[in-house]
Amino acid sequence: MVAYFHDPDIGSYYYGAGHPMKPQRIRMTHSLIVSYNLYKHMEVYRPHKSDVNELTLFHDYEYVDFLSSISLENYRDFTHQLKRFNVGEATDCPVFDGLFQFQQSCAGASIDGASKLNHHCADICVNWSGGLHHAKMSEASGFCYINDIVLGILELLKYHARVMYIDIDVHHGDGVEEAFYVTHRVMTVSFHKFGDYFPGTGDITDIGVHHGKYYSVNVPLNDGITDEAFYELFQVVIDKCVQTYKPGAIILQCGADSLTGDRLGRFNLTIKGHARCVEHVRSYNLPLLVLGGGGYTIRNVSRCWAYETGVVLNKHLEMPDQISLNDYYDYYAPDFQLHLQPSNIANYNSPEHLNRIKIRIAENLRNIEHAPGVQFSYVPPDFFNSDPEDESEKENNENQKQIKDLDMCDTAEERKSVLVATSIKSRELGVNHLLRRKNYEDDFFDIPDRDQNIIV
Amino acid sequence: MAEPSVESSSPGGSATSDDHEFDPSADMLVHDFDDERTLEEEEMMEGETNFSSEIEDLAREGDMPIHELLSLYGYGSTVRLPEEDEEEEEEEEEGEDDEDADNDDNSGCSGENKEENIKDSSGQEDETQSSNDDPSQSVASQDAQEIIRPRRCKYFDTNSEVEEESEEDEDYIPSEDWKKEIMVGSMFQAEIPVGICRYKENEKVYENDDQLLWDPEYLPEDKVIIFLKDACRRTGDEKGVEAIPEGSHIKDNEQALYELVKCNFDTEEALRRLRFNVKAAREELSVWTEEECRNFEQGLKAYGKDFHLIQANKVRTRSVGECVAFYYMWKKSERYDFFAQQTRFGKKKYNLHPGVTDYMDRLLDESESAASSRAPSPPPTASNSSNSQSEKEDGTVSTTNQNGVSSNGPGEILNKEEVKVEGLHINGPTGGNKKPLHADMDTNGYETDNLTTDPKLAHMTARNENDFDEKSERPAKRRRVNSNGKESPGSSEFFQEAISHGKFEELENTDD
Repeated sequence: MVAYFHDPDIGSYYYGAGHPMKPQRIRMTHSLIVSYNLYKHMEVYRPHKSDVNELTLFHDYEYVDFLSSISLENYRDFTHQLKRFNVGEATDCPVFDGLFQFQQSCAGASIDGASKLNHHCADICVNWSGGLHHAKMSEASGFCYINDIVLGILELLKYHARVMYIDIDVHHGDGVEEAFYVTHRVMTVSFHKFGDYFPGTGDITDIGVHHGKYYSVNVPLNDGITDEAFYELFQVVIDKCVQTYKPGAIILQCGADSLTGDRLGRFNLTIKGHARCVEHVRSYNLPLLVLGGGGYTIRNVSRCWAYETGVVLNKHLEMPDQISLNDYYDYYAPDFQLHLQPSNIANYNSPEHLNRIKIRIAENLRNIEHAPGVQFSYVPPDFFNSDPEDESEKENNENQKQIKDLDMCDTAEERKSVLVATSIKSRELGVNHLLRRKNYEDDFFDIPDRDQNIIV
Repeated sequence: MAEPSVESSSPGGSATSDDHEFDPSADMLVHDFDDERTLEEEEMMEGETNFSSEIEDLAREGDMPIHELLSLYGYGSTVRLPEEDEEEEEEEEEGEDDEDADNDDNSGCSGENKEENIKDSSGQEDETQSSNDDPSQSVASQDAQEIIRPRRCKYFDTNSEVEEESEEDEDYIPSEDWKKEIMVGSMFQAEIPVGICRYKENEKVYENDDQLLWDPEYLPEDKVIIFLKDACRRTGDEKGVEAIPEGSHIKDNEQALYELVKCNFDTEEALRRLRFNVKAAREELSVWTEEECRNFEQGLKAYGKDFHLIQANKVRTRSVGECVAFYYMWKKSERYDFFAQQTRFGKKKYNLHPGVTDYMDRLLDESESAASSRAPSPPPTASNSSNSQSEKEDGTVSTTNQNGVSSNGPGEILNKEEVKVEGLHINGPTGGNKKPLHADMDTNGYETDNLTTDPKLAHMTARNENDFDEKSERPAKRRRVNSNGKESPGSSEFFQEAISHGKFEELENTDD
C-alpha cells in the first residue's frame, strides 16, 4: 500500500522573485498525478504541520524559534540572527511569507510518512514536498530551513535498528550526512556532482567518523553523467550497501535537479533513468519513504515525480507519454510529452573514474561486513502512542517463514538470492500494492559489532 | 610635480591616480575593520558598499595567520590547533582567492565565503584520531552560538578561481575555497533515540494529525471508476464551464473522492452531496473578479513579483498564497500574453538578489519600451514556439507577423535566439551550459517565448491594457482540448467572472 502526502496549499509559497526554488512544482506534480489517474490508487493524506516540539528533536531550539518569529515585516530587526542562521536577503535562504508554515508542512509530511511505515500502515510513503537535505541543526542552507529528512529518519529509528538514506539529488546531501556522521544506525549514501559545486562536501573520502566510520558513502561525479552509467553505478553501490548494512527501512531522496536540462544541475539523466533508481530501491521490498528535493526546471520536476509516483505504484508502464489536460497543461509546451531526451553535453565521467569509485566503496564497505546490532533495554515512549511492551515475548518465539532470513545467510551470494527471492515472490503473488510481507523481527539482532562495543 | 589630480587621469592610468581611487576604500577598510563587530554601524552603510567592504575585510582575515585570527575573536592561546600547518596554508590560499574574487556580478556570492571558523579536518582523513577532534570541538562549544561555517551561494556561477602561490608554504595546495567540511560536534549531530520500540502484533493504531483524503482499500476499482463517471456527468443544469459536455477520459476527481470518504464510501450519498455542494464550494473563493485581475496586473507592473507587496497594496481581498496561485495560472493565460506585450514582463533581468527588485530600473525600461515600440518587429522565426500552444490543436501556424508594433524592442532579438536554442531541446538550457540566472529564461527555466509578438494581438496598440474592447479584433485562442475531448475543469474558474462580463469573445479563451 502506498501512502501519499500532499498539502494543497504547498504550491502557494513563494521564495521570492528570481529565486530558483519554486514550491509550485509540487502542485504541478500533484496535478499530473491526478490527471494520470494515479491518485485513486493511493491512500492520500493531508499532512499535519509539525510543531516546535517535533522540530526540536533535531534542530536547535533557538533556530526554530527564530524561524517561527520572523516575517517579511520584522525580519530586518533580526540582523544578527539572520547572519548566524544564514537566512535573509544576501543568502540562498530568503525570508518569505509563510516560510515557517511551509517548512512545518514539509517536515510534518515526512514525519507522518515515517510514522506510517513504523506502524505498518503503508509499505511506501511518498512526500514530494520533503527532501530538504541541506538544512543543518541550527542553520539554513541551500534553500532548506528545516531538515525533514533527519526528522523522518529519527522517527524511523524508533523502530528500526538500521536505516539507510539514499540521495540522488545532484547536490551532496550534507545536512543528513552531518546529522548522522558519527553513528552507525544510519547509513547515508549520496550520488552527486562534486568539484567546485555546492555544497562542497561529499568527496569519496568522507566516510564518517567514530562509530559512524564507513557508514557514510559518497559517490562524487562529474558533469554530464548519462542514464546507463548512472544506473550501473547506482545498482552496484546500492546492492553492496544493502547487502552489507541490511537496513530495516530506506529513505530515498529523489532530487530532480539531477535531470538533464535542470537550471542548476549538471547531469544528463532522463526521467526514465532517474526513475530506474526508484524502481531499483523499491525492489528490495523494504519500508520505503520517497521524498522530493531539488529540481529547478519545474516542468521537468513535475514530470519526473509524477512518473516516479507511477513507478512506486508499479503503474508507470501504463502512463501514456502524452500528457493529459490538467491545471498546468501549458507549462509542458511545446511538446506536452512526459519524457525527456538527454542533451548532447559531454560526459566527464570516464569509465575508469566510475570504476575507481566502485572499488573504493567496496573496500570501505568491507570494513562493516556484519551489520551491527543494538542492545536495547529501554523502550522509549513512542512519539504519538504510548506502547506497553506486551507482545514482545510472543514475537520472539515466532518462527520464520519460507524464505530464508537474511541474517541466516553466510555469503553475499546467499543474501542476494534471498533478496531476489523475496521480490520475485511478491511479484508472483501479483501484488500491485505491496502488502505487509516481511517479518520485521530481523531488523535488529544481537550480533555485536565487529569493531565497536555498542553501549546504548 | 605634485600628484596628478583625479580628473586629469589619463587612459593609461598612472599608478598614483589609481591609488587615489582606491583611497576611500582603504579608509573604509580601516573603518570596517573596527565596525565589523558592531553590526549596527555596519547596517548604516549602504547596501552595495557593504558587500565590497566585507569582502575586503574577509580577505584581510584570510591572510592573517591563524593565531591572530583566533585572538581577534577572543580565543587567544587557549586553543590547540590540529594540523596547524595545513590549515594555515589552506586559509592563506583561500584568503588570497577572496581578494581576487570578482566583486561585480557575484558580490553576493563571494561575500558569503566566510573563513571564520576552524574547520574540523578529521573528516578528511582516514585515520581519525579522537585527539584531533577534541580541540576543534572545544572551539566549537566555546563559540557554540556563533559558528558561521563557510558557505557557498548555490545558484550563482562560481568564479573562476585565481590560483596564487602563497610565499610561505612548502606544499602548494591549490586553492579550493569551494570545499567545505562536515562538522562534527554536539551542535551538528542529531541525537539518536535510545533503544528500540517493539513491534506490536496487529498494531494498526496510529494517531496523528494528518487527514485522510482518500483510501483505495474500501471500494474495488471499478466501482470507483463508475462513481467518478457519475460525479462528472452533467445534469443539464450547469452553467458556465460546467455546461461543457464531458469526454470519455475520466480523470480522478479529488473533491469527489474526498466526498466519498466523508460519506463512508456510500456512493449514492456522495453523489448527492456533490451536486449540492459543487455550487457552494465554487462560489466561495475561487473566482477572481475582473477588478481583482486588473489590480493584480497593476501590482505586478508596480512591484514585480513581490506578492507580499501586491497583496498588501493592490489585491487586499486575497491572501498572498492565493495571489501566488493565481499568478501561476495567470501567466499561461491570454491575459498574460496581452499584459506581457506592453510591459516586457518576464524578460526583465531580475537582479541577483532575490527579494530585492530594482523598481527604478524597471520603470526606466518601461518608458524605454514605450518609446521603442515603434520599431518594426523581426521576421516570424520568433513565433514558432510561442504559438506552439495554440498550434498544437489548431494547426494555425501564423507565419506572418502582422504586428507592426512591438513593445519588446531590443528584447525581440534576444527572444529569437532563445527560440532557436529552444528548438534543439525541449528540456531547457542546451549545451550543458548553465545559464546564468539573469539570462533569457523565465524564472521557471522556461524560455520566455510566449510573450513575443502574438500575431493574434496584431492590431493592439500596446498601451491600453484595460481596453478590452480590442477583443473583437482578436481571433479567439481555441480552448485546448485533449484528444479525448475532456477539458480541465479547474483552471477556468479564475476567469469565470471575466467571461461573464463579456470581456472575452468566447468561453473557450480561458485556457491556462
